[in-house]
Amino acid sequence: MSNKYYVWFLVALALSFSASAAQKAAPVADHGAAGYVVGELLVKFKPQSDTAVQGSFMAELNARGHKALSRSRVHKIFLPQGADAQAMAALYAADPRIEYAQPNYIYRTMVTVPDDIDYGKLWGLKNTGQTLASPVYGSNNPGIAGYDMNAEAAWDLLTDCRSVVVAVVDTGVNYTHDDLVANMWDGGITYPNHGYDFVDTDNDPIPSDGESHGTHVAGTIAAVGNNAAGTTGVCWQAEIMSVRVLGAGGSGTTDDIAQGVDFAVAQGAKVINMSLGGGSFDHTFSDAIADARTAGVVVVVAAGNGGADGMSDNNDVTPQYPCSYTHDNIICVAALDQSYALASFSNYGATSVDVGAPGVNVQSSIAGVTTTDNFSAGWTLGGNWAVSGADYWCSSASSLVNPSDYCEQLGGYYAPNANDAAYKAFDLSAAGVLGAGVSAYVDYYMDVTDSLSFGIKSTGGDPFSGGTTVRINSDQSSEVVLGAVVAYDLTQSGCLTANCSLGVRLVSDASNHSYGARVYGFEINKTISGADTYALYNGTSMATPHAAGLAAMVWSYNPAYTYADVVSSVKNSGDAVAALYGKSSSGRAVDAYKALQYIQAPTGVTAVVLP
Amino acid sequence: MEGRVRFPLLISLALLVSVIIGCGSGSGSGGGSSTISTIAVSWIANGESGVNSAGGGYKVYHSTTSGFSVSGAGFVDVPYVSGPIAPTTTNLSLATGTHYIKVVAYSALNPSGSPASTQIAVTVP
Repeated sequence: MSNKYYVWFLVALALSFSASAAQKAAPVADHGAAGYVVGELLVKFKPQSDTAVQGSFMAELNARGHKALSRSRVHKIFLPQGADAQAMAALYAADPRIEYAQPNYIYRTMVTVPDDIDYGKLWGLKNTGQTLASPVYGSNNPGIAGYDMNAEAAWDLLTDCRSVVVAVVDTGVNYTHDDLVANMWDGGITYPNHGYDFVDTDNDPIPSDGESHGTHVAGTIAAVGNNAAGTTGVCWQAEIMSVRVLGAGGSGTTDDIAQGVDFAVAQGAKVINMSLGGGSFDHTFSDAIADARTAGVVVVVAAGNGGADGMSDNNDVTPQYPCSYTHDNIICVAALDQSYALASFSNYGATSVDVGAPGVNVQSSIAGVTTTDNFSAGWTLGGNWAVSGADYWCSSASSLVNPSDYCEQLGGYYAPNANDAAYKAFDLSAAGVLGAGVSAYVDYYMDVTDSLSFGIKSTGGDPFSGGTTVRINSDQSSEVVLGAVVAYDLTQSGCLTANCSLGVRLVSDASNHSYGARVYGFEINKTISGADTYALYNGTSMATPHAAGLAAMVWSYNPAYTYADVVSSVKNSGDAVAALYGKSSSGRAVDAYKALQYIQAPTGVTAVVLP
Repeated sequence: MEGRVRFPLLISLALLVSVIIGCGSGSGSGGGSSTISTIAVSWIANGESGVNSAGGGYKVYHSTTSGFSVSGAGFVDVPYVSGPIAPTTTNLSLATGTHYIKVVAYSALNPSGSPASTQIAVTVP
C-alpha cells in the first residue's frame, strides 16, 4: 500500500539530511494529510512563454526540478524544501507568464462499500434512513441518515481482523452457515469445530438445540464481508471462536460460563463477546473475568434488556452482571435505535454502562429455520386440552389450553382426576438437520399436588407413554407463573427422527385445583448445515457484538495496543449522543472510523536536567 | 490545514528556531544569573501504528505556566523517522526556573493529535 512507499522515501530523505545538510536530496513526494502533494506545483505556461521564460520562472521558484506533462504547456514543478504548493499557487496566481498555477491534488477511491446482498439493511453500519421491512422494533423506523458506526470510512483503513481472535461465549455458533464458515477460528486438530461446548461437554459448539442467538451475534461481529451473500460483519474477515455455555432457551450456569471464559483466554482469544447477563454477584464469574484481564483480554458484555417487563432499567440501581463488575477490561454496551434514541428495552447506567451501539432491527445470520406451530393441525388433544384464539387472558392468536375456557375472563378450574395429554409428531430427520430444539411459553396456575409436564418421545405416539417426561410446575408449592420459557434440546433427547413426538400433560388429583395452563409461541428451531438464513433481532445482545467487532478492528489496526488501550479507544472515541448522556460513562455511541483514528494521551513523561 | 508533514530539514530548522526563540532565551545580558540547561524528556511509546509510522510522532510542549494549554505553547516536534517506533525522547534547552511539560502524540490520520499527557514539572537550576 502507498504508506509503505511514503515511509521509504521519508527515511531516505531523513538519512540524507542527517549526513550533511549541504547535500541535495532527490525530489520526494510528501503525501501528507493536506489533500495535495505539498511540494509539487502544476503550472500551465502561456503560449508566448518560451523555454527561456519558463526556465527563469522556475529559477525564481527555486525549483529543484520539473517534469513536462503530456498535456500541452503543463509542467510539474518540484518546489524547494518547506515550500507549500497552495501558498505558491496563490502567490503566482496573477503572474503574466502563466495561465494558472495549482497544487497537484490527491484523489482517492470512494469509501469502501461491500457487495453483500443484505448490506442495505445494516443501518447500524450505514444508516441511510432506510426502512426495515417486517421490523421487530417499530419505533424510529426509518431512523436518521448518518446515525451509525461510520463503518465505510473505517473499512477504507481496515477490513481484516484475523489477527485478533474473538470468542463468542453464547449458545454456540452454526459454523457451517454460508456467511460464517470462512471466518471461523482454526482450532487445529484439538478443536476441529472452532471451539468447545460446555453445555454438552463435547468438542462441538454447534447449536444442537437450534438456538440462533450465538449465530446472530457472530454474524454481527464477522459475517463474511463483500462475498455477495447475506450480511457483513463489522469485520469482513475474522477469526470467530465459538464457546457454547448457554443451552436450550438461551440459559446457562456459572460453572459453564466461567469455564467458557477460561477456555477462550487459554486458546488465545483477545476479545470475548458475552451477550448475556444475570442479576446476582458471582465470585466465580468475576474471578474468570479478572483472570482474563490479567491475560490482557477485552471482555464486551450486554447491558441487559429491562428484565421481566422489558423496560429499561438502571444498572447502577439494580446491578446486572457481568455489566456491573468493575474490572477495567470490560466494555458494557447499551442498545440504540435507528435514530440513536436509547432502545425502550435497553438498560443503562452512568457508571456501569460504557457505550451505546446499534441494537434494534439488526439483520444477521441465524442457525437454520424456525417453524412456529399454531396448534391448528396434527395435534392429538386429549381430555380437556383445546385450542383457543385470543381472549381476555390470552393475547396471542393461538394457544393450547386446559381447561378449554382458560382464556375467557370467567374461565374455570381444570377438572379433578385428570390425565390429559396433547401431542404432535414432528419430522426432524431431514439430512442437513444438525440440531433441533423446541421452545414455548407457558402460563400456568397449578396446585402443588397436580402436575404440568412436557413430553418428548423419538418414536411417535403419546410421548408420556415410553418417552421422557419433564415436570414444568413446582412440586414444592402451588404456583402462578406467566411467561415461563420451556425449551429442550431435541438432539440430546435423541429425537432427530421422522416421528419426534412432543406434547404437554396435565395430571390432577381429587382436590384443590386451579385455573390450568396455556401454551403459546411454540417453535421448532433447527440448525441446518450450510444455512443461508438471516433474521432481524433486537437486544443489547445485538449492540454488544457491534462493539466487540470494533474492538477487534482497533486491535488489528494497532497490534501494539494493550487491552486498556483498546477499551479506551472504543469508549472514548465515539460520537456524543444525547440519549447516552448521564446514562453511560462515556455518553457516546461507538464510531469505527474515530476509534481507528484515536490516539491515547502519552504517559510516563519524565524530565531530567542533564549535568 | 497545518502542513504538518514537512521534510525533516524544516523540522530541524523549527527545532533550532524554537530552541532559540520559543523554548527559553538564556541571553544573560544585563547581569542576569540565568543559564540554559539541557533537559532530557522521555515518555512511554504509544501503541498506535499511526504514531509509529510515516506522518506520526510526538510534540513536546513546554511552558513556564502551570496548567498551560498546548494550543499556542512552544513545542518541539519529534517525528517518526524509521524503525518500529517513533522516538520517545528529546532534549530541551531551558533557562533557569520551573518549566511545565506536556506531550501529545499524532499521526497522519490524526494530525491534531491525542489529548495531552498529564503535565509534569521540571526545575532548572
